[in-house]
Amino acid sequence: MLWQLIVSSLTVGSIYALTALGFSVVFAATRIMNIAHGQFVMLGAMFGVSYFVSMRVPYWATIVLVFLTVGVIGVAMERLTIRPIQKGGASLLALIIATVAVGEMFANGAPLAWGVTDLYSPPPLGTQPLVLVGAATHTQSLVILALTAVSFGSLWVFFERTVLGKSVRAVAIDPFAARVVGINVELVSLLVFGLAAALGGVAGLAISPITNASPHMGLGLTIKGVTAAIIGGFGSLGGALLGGMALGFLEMFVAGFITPAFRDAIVFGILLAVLFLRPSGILSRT
Amino acid sequence: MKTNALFPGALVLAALVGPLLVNNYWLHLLISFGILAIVALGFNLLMGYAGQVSLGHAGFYAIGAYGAALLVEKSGWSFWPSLVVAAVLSGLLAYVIGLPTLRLKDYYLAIATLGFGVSIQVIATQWSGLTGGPVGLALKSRPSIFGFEIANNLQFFYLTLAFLLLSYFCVENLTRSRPGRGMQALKDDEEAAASLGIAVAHYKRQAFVISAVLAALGGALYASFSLYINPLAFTVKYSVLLLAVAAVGGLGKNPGMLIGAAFVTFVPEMATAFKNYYLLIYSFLIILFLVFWPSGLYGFLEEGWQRIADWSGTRREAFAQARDPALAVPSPEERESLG
Repeated sequence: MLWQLIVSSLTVGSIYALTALGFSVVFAATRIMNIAHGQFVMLGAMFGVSYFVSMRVPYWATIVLVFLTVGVIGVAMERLTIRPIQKGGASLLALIIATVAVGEMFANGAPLAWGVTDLYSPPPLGTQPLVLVGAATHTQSLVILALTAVSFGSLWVFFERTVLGKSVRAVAIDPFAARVVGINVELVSLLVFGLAAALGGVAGLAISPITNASPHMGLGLTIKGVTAAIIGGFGSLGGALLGGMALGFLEMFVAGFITPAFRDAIVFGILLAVLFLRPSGILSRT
Repeated sequence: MKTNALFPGALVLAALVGPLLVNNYWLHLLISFGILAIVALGFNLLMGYAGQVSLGHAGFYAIGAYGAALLVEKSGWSFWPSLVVAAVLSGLLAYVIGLPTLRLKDYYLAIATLGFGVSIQVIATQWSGLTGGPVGLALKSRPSIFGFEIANNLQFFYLTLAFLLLSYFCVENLTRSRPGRGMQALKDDEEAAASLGIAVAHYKRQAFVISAVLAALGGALYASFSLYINPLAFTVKYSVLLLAVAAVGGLGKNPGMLIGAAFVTFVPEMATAFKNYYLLIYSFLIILFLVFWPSGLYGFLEEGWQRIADWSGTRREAFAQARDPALAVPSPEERESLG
């Protein structure tokens, strides 16, 4: 029972960490809380089913296609909503409202394209559960864990080892100073929106065999993802990973030992407690 | 000054007389409009004045609705005390949520309220012993006020109108007084406002609590009007609807909320073909207005009115100058002789 709980907590924690990642990257570079982000995860799941099941594209190509499709949607969102509103001199508040509206457009548009019912997404490694040290595990859990490792690892390399990644970090620290040294701030904003959306989309593809591909899954993931990012410390990679895992474990253990009914309400309580006691997240040094 | 009082006066008069002339269907819509406008006024105080966004106002609306309904139905209270208790409870909850979130910079309130709204919905759905769960809760009768029973929709409309006028009066006065100016200052620049001695966290909290109280008031009215509530009425969709009211009407303008609420209530009725897609359309409208007309329909009207006023004003001055030489601009020689 305990081992089983740990395995499912790791899976759920990875899902939250992958979602939190996109928030953190966008927030760090632009200070925008992108409420639409959970919908990118949803779109990734939906497009994944379309490519893999309906069009019979091989799985590796599905991953690439989902990455590109949802990435382009993220870029389009930045170009069509965020940029024009910023140019109009509107406040950060207006930008956050715009992300809410974009998210609702995706959430209410998706049923028109894919129908209102959940779609089954076949796991690429088969449906036979794996038995690891007495705990039955969905094969997809392995895919999710691997994706988490790859996403965080490659983003770490990107931010620490490449010039482009370092310019994103420079913009995060001070957009004006970054502009002074010749960094194209607009391009960085476009890049983080596209990258976050693309990674979110692939995360959606990875989790869909467990959760099903549902047009209604976006908002819940937004809440869990932002909460995870805040718990760990908004805007840092380590924070997103740690926050996601912490939230996954807390949620699964509360559901397993106390009650599964009020899972979402408990998450909210945790969020308030963190904001009250340690608003900059557990990883902060202050 | 005279024209300033004339227009609202005519509007109130129309609101008093108009409902006598319309059928039940329109009365129904007018009541929905009034309730939405009350909630939107509070929402605008928070968002348009104090510059904070709540994505969980559906939660406060639900607390008003369930609070009033449960106290009336299960505890046998009368309408007034249950309304007051529900509103106070909602305000207290807002205070507690605002305590950690509103002293922080950035928009943590948006996230916290998003979580709050979903939590309230989860509780309303799961705690079926209290709330009736997904099946919902039916109320037996419309409220009676000081022994006078509100029997039909017309009477309920006047009750709603009274609350709307009272809310409007209070919010308008607040925004024109010291707290309102404080809120506007902190919205523009929190640090500058703080350095001028404005209690930033205090004013943000005040706006949030008042908006939660108004949302609960709207919720209580909604419950006693529709006589049936279930958790589906309080999803995040309602919060998005409020965003649409604010964006379409004009952020930071109290009259704009009336226009926005009217738009959101009446326009879908005229275009029934779009009823199934209304959230899609509203979210599209929010973006459209934010990008192209950030000051909303009210800003549009205001600008048009200003143009007419300017035009007629310059015309009047020109006429006056032509007729009265004393008003004409003095020539340089005349100016010298005047000293």
